[in-house]
Amino acid sequence: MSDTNEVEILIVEDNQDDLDMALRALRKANLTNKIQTVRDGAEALGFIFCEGAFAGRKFENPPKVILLDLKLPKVDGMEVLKRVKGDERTKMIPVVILTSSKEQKDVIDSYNLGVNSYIVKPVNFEQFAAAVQELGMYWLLLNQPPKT
Amino acid sequence: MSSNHHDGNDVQRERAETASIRLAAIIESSDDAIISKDLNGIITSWNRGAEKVFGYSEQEAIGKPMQMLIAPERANEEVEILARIRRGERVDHFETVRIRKDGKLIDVSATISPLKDGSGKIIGASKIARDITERNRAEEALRASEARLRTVTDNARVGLVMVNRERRYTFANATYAEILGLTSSNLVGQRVGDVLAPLYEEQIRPHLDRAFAGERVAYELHRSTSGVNHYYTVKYEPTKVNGSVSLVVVVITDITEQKQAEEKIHQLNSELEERVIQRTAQLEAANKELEAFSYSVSHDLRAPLRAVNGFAGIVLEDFSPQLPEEGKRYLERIRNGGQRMGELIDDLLAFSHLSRQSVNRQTVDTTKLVQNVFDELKPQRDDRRIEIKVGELPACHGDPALLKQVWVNLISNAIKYSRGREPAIVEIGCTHENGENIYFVRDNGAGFDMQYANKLFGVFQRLHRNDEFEGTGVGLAIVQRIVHRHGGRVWAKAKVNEGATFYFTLEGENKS
Repeated sequence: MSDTNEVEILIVEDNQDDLDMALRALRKANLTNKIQTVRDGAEALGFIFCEGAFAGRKFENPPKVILLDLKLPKVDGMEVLKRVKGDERTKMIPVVILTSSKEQKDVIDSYNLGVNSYIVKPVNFEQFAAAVQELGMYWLLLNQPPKT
Repeated sequence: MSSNHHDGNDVQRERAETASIRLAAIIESSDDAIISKDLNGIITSWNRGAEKVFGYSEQEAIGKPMQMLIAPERANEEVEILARIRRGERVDHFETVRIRKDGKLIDVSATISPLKDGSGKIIGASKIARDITERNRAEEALRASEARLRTVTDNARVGLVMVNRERRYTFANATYAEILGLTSSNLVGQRVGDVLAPLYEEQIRPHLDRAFAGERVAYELHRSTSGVNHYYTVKYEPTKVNGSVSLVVVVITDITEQKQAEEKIHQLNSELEERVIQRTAQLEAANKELEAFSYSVSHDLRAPLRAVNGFAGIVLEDFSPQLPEEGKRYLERIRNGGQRMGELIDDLLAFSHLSRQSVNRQTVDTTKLVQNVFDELKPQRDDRRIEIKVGELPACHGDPALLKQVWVNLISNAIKYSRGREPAIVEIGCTHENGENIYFVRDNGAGFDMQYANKLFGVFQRLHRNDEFEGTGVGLAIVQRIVHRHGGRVWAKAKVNEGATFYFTLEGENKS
């Protein structure tokens, strides 16, 4: 990804297996061209808030959706969600939690923080691939974001 | 008619006669016996009082010896008295016993004086005697009563004293000195303020003042002697004479032991509370740990499983043409294994969730609940022909969500294990035994051997192979846990190939 200002999907995922499967699913759905992947919460915050390695990015060009895992190194997904939804500059960015956790507490906490969607990663591969594809389709093609 | 006609002697004689008549009248009207006798002890006069005291009339008595009033064993008394009279001595308030005419003994108090003639010679004796039998008896009774009272109050477990307006003791029982640790045993006459210094000024006085103002007072007294604490309850009961308090009755009870017991209880309670807090904290910590554990299971065990499943699937999808049939089949089995493990993890999590979930009891319409469950299980029935018989199902008291899980698991088992029966019959009902409702779910399916019935409700315990009947072996464990959390029982009856019946109760409303 050469220009981070054109990123449409930000995937925050530390598990290489899940990441590969998600990318493969998106590729199969022809949704691969504008994807940025980061591997932990700190990196995610850097991208979202245009800091560090992503200092060249502009707030005016937010991703169309952030796919966020909950269990992440350094800064966990819940904290990332809190920061995104708690900041005037970023709270409009749709965030989809994509996690293995079925814990009700996680679901409730996420919604309390303003998550746009909460998806439990299916163990079944086909279901997982279908879920990622549908997500990509929905947020990139169907969803109408506010004009900035 | 005037006295001027009489000479001086006449006047004097007349006066003496008048005096004599008056004296006789006094003697006659006296209640005391007034008797005179000569020096030989012969009765010479006998008034009406004597008649009343001794029972003899004047005629019966005069001329008789005094001895007739005296018991034979006291015969000497009369001799002695007569001897003293002859010597001119008086006998004052001599208390003795005499015999009445009717033979009854009476106590008398007598005063005997010598009688002299005009020349001063002793010619006899006068005796004034009073019947003191009643008085003696009353005194005796009073003494006995006082002794009894003393015995009672001394043995009472409360201290009893009376205090007069000068704040001096007028009565004190032995217990009073005992429980207050007083060395002086004779308190009567002493000042309260002296006996109980410095307690009197510090604590007692204002209360006692109130009592003397007419108020009934009760308070608690605290005393510390050489580091030992004593506690008392004190009650003041004012006693009024002519409208003002002349006396205060004090009742004091030692409540030290009671206080100590209370303190002990208080201490034990706070220790217990402390322990409960500790245990609760431990439990909460254990619960937290369990939560962290199941979270970890939920999250971390699924991820590698998804990889196993996913990449097996990707290989099948992307490289199928290059794979021999056998390779494809093995990959399929890898995926099935992963799939099954996912189900096991999910069921295990659901089961462990149950112990943390609180039971919210309310009235549940069982008929409606069971109907909903059947509707939800429609997809599982695969258009199979199943005869469903639902009997009368009384409402119950329980957690609707948890009870629904019980019915889902039991009914879906009945549907599952009756597969292959034509027709499959699932019967649901309730019987009433010993005052409790027993709900049941019956099928005509595979059943099981009763010798393995004890394994039925264990986690991951199965009585059928997975290729016979799919499942994880958690459903009945969940049923049992929910039923137990409602205070009920669950059991089953079955026979191989003849179906199974599962029963449960929801008694013990107060348990959770």
